[in-house]
Amino acid sequence: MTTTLARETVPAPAPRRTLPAVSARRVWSIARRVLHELERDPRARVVMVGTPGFLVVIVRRLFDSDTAFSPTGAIMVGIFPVFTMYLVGSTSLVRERSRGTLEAVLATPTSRLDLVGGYLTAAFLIAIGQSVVTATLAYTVSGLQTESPPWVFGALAGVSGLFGMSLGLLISAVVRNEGQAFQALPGFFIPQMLVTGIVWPVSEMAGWVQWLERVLPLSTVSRSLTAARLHHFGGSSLAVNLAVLLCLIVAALLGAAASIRRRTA
Amino acid sequence: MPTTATVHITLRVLRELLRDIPTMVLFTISPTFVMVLTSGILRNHPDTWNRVGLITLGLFPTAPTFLFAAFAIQRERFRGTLEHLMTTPAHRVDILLGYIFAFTLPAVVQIVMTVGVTYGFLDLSTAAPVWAVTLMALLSSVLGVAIGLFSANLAHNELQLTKVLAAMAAPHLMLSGLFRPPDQMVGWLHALSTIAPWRYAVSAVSELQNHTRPTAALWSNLGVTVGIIGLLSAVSLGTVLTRRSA
Repeated sequence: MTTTLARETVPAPAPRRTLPAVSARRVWSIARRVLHELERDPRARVVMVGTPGFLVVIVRRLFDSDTAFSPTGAIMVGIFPVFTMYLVGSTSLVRERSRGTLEAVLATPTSRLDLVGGYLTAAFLIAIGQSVVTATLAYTVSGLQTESPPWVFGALAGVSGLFGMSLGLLISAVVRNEGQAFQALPGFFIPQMLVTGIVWPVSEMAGWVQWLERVLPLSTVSRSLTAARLHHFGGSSLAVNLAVLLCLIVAALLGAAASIRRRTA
Repeated sequence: MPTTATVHITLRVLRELLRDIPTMVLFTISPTFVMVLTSGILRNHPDTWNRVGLITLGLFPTAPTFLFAAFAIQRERFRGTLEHLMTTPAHRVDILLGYIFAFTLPAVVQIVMTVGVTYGFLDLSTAAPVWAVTLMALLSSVLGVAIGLFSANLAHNELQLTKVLAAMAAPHLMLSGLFRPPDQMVGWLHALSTIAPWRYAVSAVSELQNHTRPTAALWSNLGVTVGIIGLLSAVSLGTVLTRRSA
């Protein structure tokens, strides 16, 4: 009797609701938000699908034959998402930071892992969508020839998208505005792209450039793609480069997650 | 007709540029870096290096002025500083000229560095004298400002501008003749390349490769390039550099 009374007067404390660090629902709602933002802007469609598709078609015409185009074409299909997702990720997050929406989002139950997960999910989906368009054009109109089936390149494009997005999220912590985030494209990505052998074959470059090619992060992407083009399902070279690429993605994401926090109280 | 207002706007934009250290580093150092890289990539192909190296040298100044001018004007427009400027006696021609001067001055530093390194260390050989190449590079940097100001038309804020610039620059580079001269392109691609503003500057620079004296092709391509700069600037005067309010 007394115990019941005590229970009535002093109710047992409700178990404290601890939110899971990551929830699929929150991740998906962040991803949907990112996708919605892009969907509203026709320029985003042009830069994500229009320009890459157009480039695949015209670059083929800069070469004399399908065989000559294939080394470049295979890299192009898989490497576009690195650039587009870097662009989308860095500029969107810089904007969220400078406009205060990041603070607002983090004031909700959304954790920073949810936020990073949401951005990555969006990047993966867009990268796959983009590669469907570029790969279709590359294999049909531009006569791309590869040993691996086209879907392997689609999957690699998805991973490239994750890579580009994680770099973008990381960079957004050190730049002040969208303009500075954009400058990394000509300043950091384009020189790397020249060295990856997308235009001129790596084997004919000077020794020190070949050495540079071995250590630059973007080379893991181009090497995976070249491996997938030369061998059925890529072989060991694809496995090694993909493993290194995944490590780079994880490292960049850890850095990005550490940099995303509430500035106010 | 540069007035005091022009000078003030030039100094202001320049000060803003100089304050932004990462931007200035990228602006002045990166072209030299790209030249060194390209020469290494093409080490075993001297002929290609002579062609591509010259074009890169003559035209690289377009890229940074294009990017930075576009972002600078977009920020002014978006944040309202342009409106403030318009309420002062400064004319929009002053703003246009101010921007061109402000971006051309750092471009001179950049060009001198790039030209010095390329001819001094990287064995670029051209028939035309070095000063002609330098002048072409200077013209390209003005072209970059003109394209940059114009492209601010196609976006409402800086976020959108990043996409516009990426979407404009990449196909432009392919069509410009850097990787394959326009007259060797297939018919429809050649036709498409006639509407790429950069292409005429590339053709003009390419003429410096084999000719010691100015050729007719050089003059006509130069004329078209100057015309494009004038046209784009005129359009920008009427669209970007206008007061929105009252």
